[in-house]
Amino acid sequence: MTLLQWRTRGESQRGRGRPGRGPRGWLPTPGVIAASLFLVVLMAAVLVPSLFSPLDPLRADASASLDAPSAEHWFGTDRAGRDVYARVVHGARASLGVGLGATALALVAGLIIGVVAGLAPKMIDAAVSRSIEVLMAFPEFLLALVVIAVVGPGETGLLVAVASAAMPAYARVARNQTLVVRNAGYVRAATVLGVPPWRSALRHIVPGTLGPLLVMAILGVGTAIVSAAGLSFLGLGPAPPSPEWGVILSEGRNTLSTAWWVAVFPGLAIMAAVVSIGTVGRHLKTGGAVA
Amino acid sequence: MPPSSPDGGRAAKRVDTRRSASQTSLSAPPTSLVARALGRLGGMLLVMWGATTAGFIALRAIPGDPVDVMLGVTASVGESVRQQIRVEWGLDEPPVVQYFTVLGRLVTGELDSYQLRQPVMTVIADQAMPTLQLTGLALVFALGLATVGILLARLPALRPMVSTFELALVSSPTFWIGLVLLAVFGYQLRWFPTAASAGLPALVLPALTLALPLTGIVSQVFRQGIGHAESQPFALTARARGISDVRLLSRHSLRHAAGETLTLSGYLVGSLLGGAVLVETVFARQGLGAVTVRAILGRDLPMVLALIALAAAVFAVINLLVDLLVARIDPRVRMAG
Amino acid sequence: MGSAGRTVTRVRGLSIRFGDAVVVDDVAFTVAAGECLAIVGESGSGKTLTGRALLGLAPPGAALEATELTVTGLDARRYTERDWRRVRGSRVGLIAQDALVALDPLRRVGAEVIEAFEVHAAPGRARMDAAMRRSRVIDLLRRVAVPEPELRARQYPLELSGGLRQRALIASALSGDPVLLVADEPTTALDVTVQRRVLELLAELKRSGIGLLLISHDLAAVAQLADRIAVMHHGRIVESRPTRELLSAPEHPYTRMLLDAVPRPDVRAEAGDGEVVLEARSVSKRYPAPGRGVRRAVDGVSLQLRRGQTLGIVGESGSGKSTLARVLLALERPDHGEVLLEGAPWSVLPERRRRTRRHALQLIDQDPFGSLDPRFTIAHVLHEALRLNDTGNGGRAGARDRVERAGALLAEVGLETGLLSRRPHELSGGQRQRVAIARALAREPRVLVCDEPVSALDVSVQAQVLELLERLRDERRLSMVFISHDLAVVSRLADHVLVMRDGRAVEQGTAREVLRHPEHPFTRELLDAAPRLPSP
Repeated sequence: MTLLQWRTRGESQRGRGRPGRGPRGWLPTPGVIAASLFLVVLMAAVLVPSLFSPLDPLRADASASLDAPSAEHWFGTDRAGRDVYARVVHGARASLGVGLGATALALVAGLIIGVVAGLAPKMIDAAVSRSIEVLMAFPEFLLALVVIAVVGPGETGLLVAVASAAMPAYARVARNQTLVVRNAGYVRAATVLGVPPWRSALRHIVPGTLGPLLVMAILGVGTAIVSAAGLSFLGLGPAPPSPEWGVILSEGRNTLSTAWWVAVFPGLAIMAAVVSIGTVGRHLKTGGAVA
Repeated sequence: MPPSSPDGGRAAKRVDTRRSASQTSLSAPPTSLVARALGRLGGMLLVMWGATTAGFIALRAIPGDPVDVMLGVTASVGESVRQQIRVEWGLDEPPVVQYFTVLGRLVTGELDSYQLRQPVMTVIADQAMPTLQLTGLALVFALGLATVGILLARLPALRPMVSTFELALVSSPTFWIGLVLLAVFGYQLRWFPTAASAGLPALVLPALTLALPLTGIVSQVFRQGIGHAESQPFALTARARGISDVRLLSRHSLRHAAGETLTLSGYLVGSLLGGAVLVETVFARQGLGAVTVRAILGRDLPMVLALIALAAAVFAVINLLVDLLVARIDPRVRMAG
Repeated sequence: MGSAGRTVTRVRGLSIRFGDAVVVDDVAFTVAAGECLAIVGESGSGKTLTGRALLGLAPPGAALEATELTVTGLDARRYTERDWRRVRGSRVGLIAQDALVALDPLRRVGAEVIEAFEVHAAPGRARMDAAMRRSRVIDLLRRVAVPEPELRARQYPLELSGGLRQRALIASALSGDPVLLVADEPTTALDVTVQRRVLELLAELKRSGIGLLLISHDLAAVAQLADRIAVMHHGRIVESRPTRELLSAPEHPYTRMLLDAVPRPDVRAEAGDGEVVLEARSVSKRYPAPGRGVRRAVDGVSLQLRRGQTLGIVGESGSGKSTLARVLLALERPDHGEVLLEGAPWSVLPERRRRTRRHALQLIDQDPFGSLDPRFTIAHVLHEALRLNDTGNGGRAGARDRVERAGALLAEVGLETGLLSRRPHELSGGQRQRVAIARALAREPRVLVCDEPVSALDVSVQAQVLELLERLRDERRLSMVFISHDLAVVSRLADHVLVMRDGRAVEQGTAREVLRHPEHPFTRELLDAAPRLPSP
């Protein structure tokens, strides 16, 4: 027997054809493993920051102003002589906290609004859908800006602003998914069996809607972290000396001409966090674990 | 979403039959073009009205005296003068009356900014140019770079690199990319000026900053679109005709991917405007983004409302254009309309 | 029959595997010019992959071996992608299943039809002029008997009816003048009347000297066209003989099983003359049509179902039979007319009052993949139904033996109780449909509405599920509304038949009257077009 030349376009596009239902799709790639490890480390930094950096992120040292990265100060120091590494490590709590908190808030609010709209009579659905459309017409960041102008700057304001900016997207997906599930064969089957609509909603529709929303939320945490950093970069988040990635970045902007390190490292931390979340999220999505 | 299964195919066959049968009625003449255009215009005005109304309610909810905004916090002015200003600006009226006054003035262009004491229209007109230049150049950069990325990704060897790079770009905060570019090309290498007043060269870094995350998104969506198109049955038929990869791309999948990417335009323009807010701050530039930040921080209600109305209008127009373009590309959309 | 000309393709020892899984195993066949070989098998038998091998097109990850693989006399085993490209379209053409998705929806029909010709005829010449292209497209469309070819060439696939679209797809495969056509389920997505005409077209092409490799799950459909039939099972060809021989004296048990599974038109005696259990009084249901106006999905249909009767509703896709089912089940409210259940008002009641009587009327849905919640275990699915029975009599007492009753239900539909802990995606299509039936039985219905209950299943599984339905109907003395596009399936179960077309009931009566002495021309056309095996 001779082995044939069997080359197709498809073959060079590995990993696209068969979404990983089979056991092979579940093997995480090295990238996914690295991303998961980084997220574990990040969570550790959120819970016990002193594990990674014994230095006080707020302790100023006038003699060490704007020192370049060294063995002593891995990421250098800022204008007030504070250790940038310590600030980045301690900043994880605030930044990730807002990211996770705002996403959870947006998810829950969006789910409730979306499912209610999807099951409500046409008039209510139309009104809610139009409102969501109006909100979706605005860039998420501008929406967050307007909200923070209303609720006022600060950590709570940041959380609410980022959550409200993200919420419309969740509500829209939840509503559309509700419509899909509502017309699914198994919901019709429940109606024919005589299952009351409220139980059908609770047992079939909400769980069926939650899956796609959770996938969306995992990736949404990354977006939320970036939005929150943007707002605090503009001075709308936590007050300046407190360690938060956006705050450190905005301090870095002022010393950029002489000290690049103050601005570069917190940004790298954001990027690494968001890339990791995105990588793991996408793996879960194609693995079908959540959906 | 029924899970895939080896014998799921036959179910799909019957379902397809249904769909095709129901489409015989699609060739019915569409409702008249004029009616549809009017409908779209009405929808657009509705969105603008809804957005400004929501903005008005939200901003009126803020505690604090608008007169403080007008005078600045430091000013010490007697209560009689404040009252005079209130009457002059109509702030003593009930909120409902104020709402209609503001709305009316917004429509006629007579609305004045609290902070700047000049018509909001004038402010927007003055500041629109720098932002248009910035976003326009950014769009050019983004499309150019995305094309390069897409072409590079056709080579299997480079694909992992391209997608890693895309992921990094999409995951980075816009303003941080700006800071890095500024640090490297502005302060370290000194290739580009760091002051905003230096004309066109000064525009390069901010536009690039704005363009890079977009590049990641555009090239990702476009490549996914091509992948999606080439995994569909018609691509198999086309390959079975003996066509080359290049022809499959140029005659078939490109069109499908373009349609999918186009529908993203609204989002892209949104990112451009949202990004402009931060980029103009990072590079200390003039423009609508800077005006927006100032207006929101200063709680300049008229200015904010005008900007909201403007953004809503921009989106409505973009979406209209996108719908028209997509309908030109995709007969399915054209006929369903 | 087959005036076998020269051999256009010869395959020996063909194996295809994905990793360790062998999906095509030591397959051999030949196709001669002017001959049609049909490869018949159920889903997953490897028939599609075998066809693709003749075009050098395989899904990612497929590894292929063969001791011989010639296409028009040339050894294709060492072909590179570039070599294959010269073969595809010009020597071997592919006709895929559903033209709606097999033709590029964004390109005009003309552009799709001419593509293979452009690719293979044009290099060499500088550029084909527009007039030449156009005349070639018109010729091709004429050849497959597409009316108004000039108009059709300018339209998009979406604008054509299913039959025309399939013809256009065939034209696009003929465009490069191939000597071999691989037709993979070319008529599966079509209504029987259209299917027959497309099969006639393929027969004409065969007569013109083209070799035809027909791939299908449907023995009856290929019987009229194929000169030889190869039966494929688990990747192997278990039997390959001339059509007539194979059909009249099958040797392999699998072939016999397939043949037995083909539903044969049959006429059932009239049954049940008890009281009317389900009645529709000139019900109509309209939907807004795209654009403007309305589509009458169901238009003034009346029917009566008596205890113990089975009413078969036949119609092509879009005839309104599924809408009628939803109206009978009171999932949709009719615009006109009324449905009565067991002599009492049904469709006019508010849902709240219907719920207490829903148990009497249950549904077996077309799609066993969508009708079970993917998150539920089978036990869950059945408990959901069983619990509803218990709400009347105390509830708690019922909970204890619910597991037992669920097991008994599974046994009744021929499934093992071990499946209770599984989820739907772990079950085959046939198993899922049995679960759906068990769930309906859980509510102890008196009337069962079956909407295309077997159309998503393989033939062998179809026969088993039909048998089950028949048995349950007789054991439980159920009345049944049985909806299908397949006359043979309907005639097997139904004692009364209603023929639907464009939302109207064009003919109804006892199965004997309607099937033996059809009055309406459409019923006659349906009966004529239904593919059937030559009687032994």
